[in-house]
Amino acid sequence: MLEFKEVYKRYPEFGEALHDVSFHIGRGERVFLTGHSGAGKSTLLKLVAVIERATRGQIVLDGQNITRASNREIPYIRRKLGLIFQDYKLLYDRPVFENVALPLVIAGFNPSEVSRRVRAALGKVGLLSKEKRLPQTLSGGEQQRVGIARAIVHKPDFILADEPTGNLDSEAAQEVMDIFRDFNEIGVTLLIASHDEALISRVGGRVLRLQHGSLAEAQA
Amino acid sequence: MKRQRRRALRQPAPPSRRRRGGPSLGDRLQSYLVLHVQTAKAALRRMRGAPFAMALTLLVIAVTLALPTSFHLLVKNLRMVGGDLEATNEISLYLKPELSNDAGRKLAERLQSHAQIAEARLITKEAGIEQLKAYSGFGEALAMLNFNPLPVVIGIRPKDSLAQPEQVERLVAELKTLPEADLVQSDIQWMHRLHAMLQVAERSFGVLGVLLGAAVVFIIGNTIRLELYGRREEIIVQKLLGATDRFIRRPFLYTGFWFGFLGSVGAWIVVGVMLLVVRAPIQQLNTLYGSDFSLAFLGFRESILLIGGACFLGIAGAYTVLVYHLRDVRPE
Ligand SMILES: Nc1ncnc2c1ncn2[C@@H]1O[C@H](COP(=O)(O)OP(=O)(O)OP(=O)(O)O)[C@@H](O)[C@H]1O
Ligand SMILES: [Mg+2]
Repeated sequence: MLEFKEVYKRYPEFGEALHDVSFHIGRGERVFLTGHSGAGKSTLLKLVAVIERATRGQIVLDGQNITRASNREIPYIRRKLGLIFQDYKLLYDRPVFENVALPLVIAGFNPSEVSRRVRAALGKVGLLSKEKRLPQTLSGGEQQRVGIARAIVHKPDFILADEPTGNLDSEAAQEVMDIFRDFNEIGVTLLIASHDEALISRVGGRVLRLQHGSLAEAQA
Repeated sequence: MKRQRRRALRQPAPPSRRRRGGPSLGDRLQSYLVLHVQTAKAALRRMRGAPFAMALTLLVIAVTLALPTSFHLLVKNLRMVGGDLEATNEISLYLKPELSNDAGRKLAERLQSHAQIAEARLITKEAGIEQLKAYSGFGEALAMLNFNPLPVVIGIRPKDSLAQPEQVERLVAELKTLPEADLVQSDIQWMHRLHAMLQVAERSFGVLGVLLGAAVVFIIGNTIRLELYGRREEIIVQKLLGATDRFIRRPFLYTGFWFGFLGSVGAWIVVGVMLLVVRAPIQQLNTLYGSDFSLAFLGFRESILLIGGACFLGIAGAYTVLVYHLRDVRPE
């Protein structure tokens, strides 16, 4: 599903954020990406979504070498992914329904299909009753679940989440992790960046540990 | 509850991965059309969200477009006046004031046999003053005069073979050498001057049109640029979710379209009102001079050209800005 081969990432203003990173994630795997603050977790996820470009090395996603993707190919790469952001990245002037519908509207689904799928996604994260609310009127945990619904509404094979539980209390964090585990069980590949070691060990899964931009260890 | 959720997930998830997310072609077409209509409506709604800014921008566009449009109408109307005059391709030969009607009649007969003259028509002093009374509105003032100040006039229609203006001018020059002649006036000379002037006017209309068209592109482009930066966050989120540049551009192109469309309809109304305002004095002139000149407004084709052209300019303005500024709006 995803392979990194000797990937380096250098930010001109900062220096090397990723140093010789190689790993492979198989289809349907559940992988946690952990490490101290500034270790390069977000950078690694951004490389997968082609938000940043690798300085050196190869990244192969679903058989496609995305390090060489042209600007015109990038949107279609992103449509294969479900992206979840630590700061949610919701549109705050639009109700929950429209936020969740966005990936489908972008992909050109017809309106009846859009509302069917949006309702299904909102049902999965338990927010069906709040589809008309504006995001500001929701709690942090609920907003994160809106972000998750938006990431799964187009049924991606691969979900990337950056600190999805960072702003949540442990109960809300557990709920979010349960949702992820449900998806993993039906075959969706997961790559979740998190520094909540306790939560990771409770949920269980393979762990990739970053340290100052290098992969320290990979454990099952 | 959790178990239910899990079952709901399991049911609609066949492992045929390639087809899982993609809508069919028919669906795509339908949703594409729906998307366009929705995007157009949404752009209009967004503009209405800032009514004052929108009204101001539309006013500026309308006035900018009304300027070349009214100029065009002016030239068009002058051309129509010119066309009327051309039909009366006449030379007026004013005789020296001391000459009598009889002397005029003799001269007219002589001229009638001139090779290049189709008709030489005598207008006696009396006939002249009757005409003046009838058409000029000075009737009462003229009635108070106890003598007739008008000279005898011979109206000369050149033969049709004198198609060339130079030939007519040569005839005019010849008539001027007549000892009886006081003043020779030919409409054709006026026509030439008018046409030359209209040509200059039309050419400057072209230049003006290009300049003001560029101004409209600039005004709309600038409005779009401001909106683009106002909606930066939204664009970034759309890009993160896989939106193509085309998808992101579309609402802005519609905004440009609406500004062009509404602005040109505004210009159409402005020019129409201007015409109504000058119509009353023209009507007065008509009754005064007994003419039946009526002002022409924009025809159907001209209206379509104005509105269609402005829509195009609006879209072009938006597109230019998007090409340059959408590159700056990126997630990283
Ligand atoms: N756009 C950027 N320009 C310059 N330096 C950057 C940029 N983004 C990240 N960095 C640097 O790269 C390093 C890795 O950043 P990254 O965001 O990947 O860390 P992280 O592991 O996600 O940290 P955290 O747990 O705090 O989110 C950091 O030291 C950061 O300062
Ligand atoms: Mg981070």
